[in-house]
Amino acid sequence: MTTKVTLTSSDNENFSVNKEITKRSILIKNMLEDVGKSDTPIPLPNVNSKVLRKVIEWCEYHCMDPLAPTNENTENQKQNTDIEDWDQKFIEVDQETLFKIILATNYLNIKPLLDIGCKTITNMIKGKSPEEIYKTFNIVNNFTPKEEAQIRKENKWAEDQ
Amino acid sequence: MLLSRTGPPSTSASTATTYNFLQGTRTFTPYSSDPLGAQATRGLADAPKFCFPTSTSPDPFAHLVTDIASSWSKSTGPRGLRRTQSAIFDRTAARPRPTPLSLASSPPPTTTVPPVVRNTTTPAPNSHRRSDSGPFADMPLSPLASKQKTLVRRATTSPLCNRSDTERFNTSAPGRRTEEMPTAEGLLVALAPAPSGDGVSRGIVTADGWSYAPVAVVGVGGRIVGSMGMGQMATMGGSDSRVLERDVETGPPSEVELLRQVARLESQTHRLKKKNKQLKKDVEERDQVIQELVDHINQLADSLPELIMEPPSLTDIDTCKRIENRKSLDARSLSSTLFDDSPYDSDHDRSSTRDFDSDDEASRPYSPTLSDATVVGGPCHATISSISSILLNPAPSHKSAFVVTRGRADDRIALTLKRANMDLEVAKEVAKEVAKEVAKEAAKEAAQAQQEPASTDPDDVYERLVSMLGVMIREAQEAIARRDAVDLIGVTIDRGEGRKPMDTSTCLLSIPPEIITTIASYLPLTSVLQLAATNRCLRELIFDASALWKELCLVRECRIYDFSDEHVGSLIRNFSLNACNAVRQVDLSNAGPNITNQTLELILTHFPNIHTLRLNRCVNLTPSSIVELLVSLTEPSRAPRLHLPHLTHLYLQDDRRDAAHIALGNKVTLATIRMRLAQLAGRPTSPSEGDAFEICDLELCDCHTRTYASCANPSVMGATPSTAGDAYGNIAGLSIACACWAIRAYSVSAAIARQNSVARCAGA
Repeated sequence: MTTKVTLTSSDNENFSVNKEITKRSILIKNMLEDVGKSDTPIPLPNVNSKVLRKVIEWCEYHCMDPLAPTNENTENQKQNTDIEDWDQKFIEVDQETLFKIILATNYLNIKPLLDIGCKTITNMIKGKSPEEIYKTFNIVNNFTPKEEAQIRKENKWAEDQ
Repeated sequence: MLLSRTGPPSTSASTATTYNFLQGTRTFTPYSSDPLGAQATRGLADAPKFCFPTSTSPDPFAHLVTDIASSWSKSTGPRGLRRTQSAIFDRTAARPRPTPLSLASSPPPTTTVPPVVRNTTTPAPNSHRRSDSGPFADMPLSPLASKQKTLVRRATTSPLCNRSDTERFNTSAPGRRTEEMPTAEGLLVALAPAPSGDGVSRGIVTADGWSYAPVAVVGVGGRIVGSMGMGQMATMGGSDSRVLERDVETGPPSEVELLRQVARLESQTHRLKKKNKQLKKDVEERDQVIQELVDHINQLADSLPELIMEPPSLTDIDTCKRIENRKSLDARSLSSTLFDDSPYDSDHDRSSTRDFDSDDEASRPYSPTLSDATVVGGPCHATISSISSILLNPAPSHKSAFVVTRGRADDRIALTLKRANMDLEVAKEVAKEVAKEVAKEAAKEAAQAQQEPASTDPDDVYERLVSMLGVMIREAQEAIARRDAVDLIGVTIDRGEGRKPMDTSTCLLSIPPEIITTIASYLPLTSVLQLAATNRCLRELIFDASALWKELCLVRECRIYDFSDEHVGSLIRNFSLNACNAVRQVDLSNAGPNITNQTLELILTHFPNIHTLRLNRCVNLTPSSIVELLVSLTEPSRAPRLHLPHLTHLYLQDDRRDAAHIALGNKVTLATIRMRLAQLAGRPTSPSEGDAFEICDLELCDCHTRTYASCANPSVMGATPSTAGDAYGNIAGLSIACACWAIRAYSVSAAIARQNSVARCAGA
């Protein structure tokens, strides 16, 4: 018999999820370990229902995956920005939701999902010029013209690539 | 006395000139080559006297003599002569001096000797030295006589008189006569001195009452230009006393001295000419500067109508004409016209809040102010030209000129702004603000003017006027710009750009820094730099992230094979202290030939916690150059001392080097590198300890003659060069062979052969 855990979103929506699935989140896993056997709903004040639903969806899909190694090689991280097809489709959301998912996974401490979110953003940044980047992400260029010219001069070798 | 002209001296009696003396006609030789000769032995009766040349005299300079005599008669007359005589008499009476003869044998003469006797008879030596011997001894002395007396007294102490003249007078017989001397300038006033000289002979009185002084050289026109000996004082007149004094004190100038004097005068003339030229040049420059300033102000005035987009109104044209008419006024009146206080000054608030009706403005009597030049285009030229005229003819005081009427100016500004389609209320506010600021400035200027005396220098006045104009123009420009800015914002709001307002809670900058660092950690170095170039916060975050810069592998991330020192330097210099401390590994492998010791030094000095440095295939970073750098970095005099406690791995080369580069890594170089790195790490630097330092790929062969790459099998390399390519497809065989390698290879192959045979045997 599978045990159910109730998760309460910030907008007070309850989600009943298998306990094994919720263990993908280090936060919930630690909380369950601390609380022990209890039917008390776990409040997640930083995650709204929409994002929580998405996170639960991802966890349900990857429930059988081995847990990610804690000490991942940085070089491999940098080289590998590939995302699986299902994950890629899963993460095809608007930018606001994407950032909310990233924030939620960071809060829930679901490292694989966080990596997927980060990789997605990385892929959005890769190969773009600064102008394209702050157009994509609504970043305000707050450099002075002098600073901007100086940075441009310094990064000339990088832009040429 | 003898008056003669200049000319070649002659001793011939035929050249004697006949003069009509006052007391008769005498004939004498005008020049003697031996002034101390026979003529000097004549008595006082033969002494020449002042005379007028006869009308029949062929001497062309005779008229000059006449002129001198007549001028003397007019200026002084016989009375002056007498006074001169009496002065000398007084001096001699006051200070009787013994002659050299009397000093030796006879007692000094006394005043009891009747002067009449001396004057009527041939004077014995020393007889003329008594003051009471003159016929005018009892006459009171006039100022001129006193002066002459003083001169004579000076003459007694003059070096001139201690010279040969005195000796001559003292030693020669009475009647000796000083002859005229030719000079380059003109006549020489000469005299026959007293028949016998003594110490008093500087002022010589003849028997007939003539007094003599050192001879003066009279130039053409009666100008005294020098002296040559003793002359008759009476002939000099009052104005010539000065010359006598000079002559007596300085002595007769020689020809060289005269030439020197002429040269001095010429140099003075040249100096004066030069000074005059310089002054003219300065004046020209100053005029030019003033003209430039006038042009500049006129240009400013030209730009004003364009600025405020307003053609000059009829009122302005009228004003312009009025001011132009006033140009005929002198500078002072124009100054007062321009800068006198306006009646509106005392009522500033009232004028600034008045209704800005143009008709009212036109009907108002106009008095030009300096502010008009800044706000109205029309009268600018007139006002400025008036100012120019003031500056070119500065009034004595411009102190009051800088008390500019402000209330009137405020009205004009507001009116101008109103005409430039500005809202009335806005225009009023702008005018108020301008008025306040200008009033502040005026108060400040007034305070400064009180502290410092007002300068009336045209340049100063111009500078101040220009600065005031600049301030007011700036105010107007700012006011217009403010109005334009309001319009611009309104247009922007109206138009819109259809962009959705940015939700700052979900943008990239809203996520935690560690997530941004994680995102950046997935990015190649070039993209990291692009991301850092988008925003200041992102840049600071990226270059401060310790996790991001733990390993810095340039080529692997950027795929750039021609890095330079400049590239690496511009990257490293952006690192924060936190990032610098976080760097553990730097890999410059394959960075290209442009990486030099400069980059290496930058890395070693910026990353104190570095433990691995890879310089594989940086062809310009040879072991010898690295040794040089390490030696300089470990110098005891270096401050602060470099300390790299964690640097344990230095990858110099790898097995794909060519033979030449390996040859550079000799034993001494490697030992030095080891020792210096140990020194940087703070470990013991003894040879034994230094050898323990790990340099990964350079080793010595068995016979210690060649270095080789440690990761390759020397026996294999010596026999068959490696043909295996690396990850980048580079193939470089190491074809260095050493005798020891051959032996080793032989032994290895022999061992293998032995093993094979053993195995074969076992299998069998």
